[in-house]
Amino acid sequence: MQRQVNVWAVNASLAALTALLFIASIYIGRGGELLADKFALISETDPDIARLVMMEVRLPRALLGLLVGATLGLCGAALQGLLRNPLAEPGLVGASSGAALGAVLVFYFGFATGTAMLVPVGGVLGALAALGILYLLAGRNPSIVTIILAGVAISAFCGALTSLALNLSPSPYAALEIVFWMLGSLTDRSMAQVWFVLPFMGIGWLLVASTWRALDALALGEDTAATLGFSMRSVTLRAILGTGLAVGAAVSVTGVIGFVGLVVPHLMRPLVGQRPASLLLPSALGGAALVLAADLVVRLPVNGPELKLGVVTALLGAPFFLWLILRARREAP
Amino acid sequence: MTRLSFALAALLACLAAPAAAAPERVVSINLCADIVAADLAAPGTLKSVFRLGRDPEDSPAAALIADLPPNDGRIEDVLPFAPDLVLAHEWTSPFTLDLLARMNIPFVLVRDARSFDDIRANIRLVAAALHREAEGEALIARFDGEMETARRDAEEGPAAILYQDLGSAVTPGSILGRILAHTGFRNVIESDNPVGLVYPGIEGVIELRPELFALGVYRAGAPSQASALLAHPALRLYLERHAHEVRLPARDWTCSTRYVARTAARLAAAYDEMKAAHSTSTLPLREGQTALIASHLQEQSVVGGLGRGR
Repeated sequence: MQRQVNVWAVNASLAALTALLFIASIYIGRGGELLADKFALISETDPDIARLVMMEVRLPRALLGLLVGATLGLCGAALQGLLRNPLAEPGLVGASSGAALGAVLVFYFGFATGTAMLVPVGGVLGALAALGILYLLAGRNPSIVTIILAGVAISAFCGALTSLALNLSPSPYAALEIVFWMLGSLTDRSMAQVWFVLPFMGIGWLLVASTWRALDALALGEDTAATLGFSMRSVTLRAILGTGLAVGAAVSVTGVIGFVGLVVPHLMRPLVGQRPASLLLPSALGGAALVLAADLVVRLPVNGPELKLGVVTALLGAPFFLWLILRARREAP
Repeated sequence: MTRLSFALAALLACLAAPAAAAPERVVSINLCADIVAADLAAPGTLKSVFRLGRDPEDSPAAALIADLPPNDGRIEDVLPFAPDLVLAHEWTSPFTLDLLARMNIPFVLVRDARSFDDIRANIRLVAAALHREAEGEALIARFDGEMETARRDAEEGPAAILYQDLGSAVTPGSILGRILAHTGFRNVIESDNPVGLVYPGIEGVIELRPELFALGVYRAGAPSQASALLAHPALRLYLERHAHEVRLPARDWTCSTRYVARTAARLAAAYDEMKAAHSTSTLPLREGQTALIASHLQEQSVVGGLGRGR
């Protein structure tokens, strides 16, 4: 009973934190400028444009931070549960880099002419392909080492192909564009991108969330889960398909934002316990909060290009992770 | 220090060669050097150019050197031509320059031009190395004439921003900033820095209220994050309602050479359009007028081979 209260309290406070950061994300601009000032200033020129800045610059940025962060947190928690591996995350198993590769191929090689909707489709297909290859490589009874090695190999390979594709594209700024796809950014996106990703993410989230009971059962081992009536095949398929859809869509509009999917479930475990099912919602909320917070840090420098989001999530995430490792070592007998 | 020693090596190499003989086997390994040399080299003496120099998207002089064999700027690409002069850039890899110096191949380094004087100095430098001083002076006179034609003097010129791919805007001290001022515009970016670029972001650009929105466009229609940025709805609406738009093909200014006069001419034309529109009415431009002028300008740029979405 105590635990239940705990989980709900954690969820509620995470939701409140996320909401706060969401509002801050809309309200605080470049170099810490406040929305009210900017709104007044631009309204003098044209109130329509001020409204457009609000609706097409600030709002989509905050929404994408929310959606992408939630996606990464949720999928990270689900993958860690599914693979029973504390190192699983969309980035580590190759989904993110596969998605970046798919999106880059569509975006830069002209398949996107006609309908821009094809870019997220490319991202989704790339992520699914990467996860599919991982599944084939790791086999039916994947060991931790196999999955990690295969994931690292797929990530590195997709990363190399992305760089290659950009080097071969006619873009003169290929090096900078590679950085965008590898490190991620929410800067100056518009609602068009939000509408792009929403259906993919929605379906992806539902698929991933639908595995929650099975993830709990899986914590007891595959055989136990099978005897409890869960089909491994269906669970794996749903989790992987859902991750592919959601992460693929996320990466195709923001580039790869690393570390969130890995760190957030670890941060949540001490709060809500080890059960994979009860970890899903807090991880989604925590992921959203982390990405929104990182995106606030990114916009603080006044001059020069903004930092890349992946840089900040790694800067925030890596020390946390090291601290977790140290604590785990201390607690170990 | 390294640069100085290279310059010294180049000088010594030049001195070592008999002063009277004009170089006959010239190889350029840099786009910016290609463009200057294309105008100046005696027929048949330029043996190879950097690969980008022949690309009409990158090089305003592409037509002049399209038939020359391209090189990739590596020492191995240069040696087969047995050059008696190599034209490079101050930013050319020091390793390549070191190898050239060791092989006693004289080279000349074109400088990154940030002012009109730098452009003239580069022309003089290459002309002297090629023993074509007279042609050099004629070219400078032509450049000066074109720039004079594009000069517009205004007490308080229209506010302008020159916004390029990747969301950067040019500062007053950059070559494009100087051209903006030369053609009568007031750059809304007032700060300066060594790179010559600032990153105001979409909100920042709108807040600065430019009346002219000059877009530096690299390879119109080629997909990039940069071109995606320029299609942002907030930016589009601002352009539609409040600003003139003129598109400046990057090939005329990525290397600051005499061809920046074309950029100046485009800006001067935009200035005249805006003045004409203002003088017919004291009221601010109405939407229709803006659209008309914008479409006219766009038409111009299509004629100039700059059409959107090739």
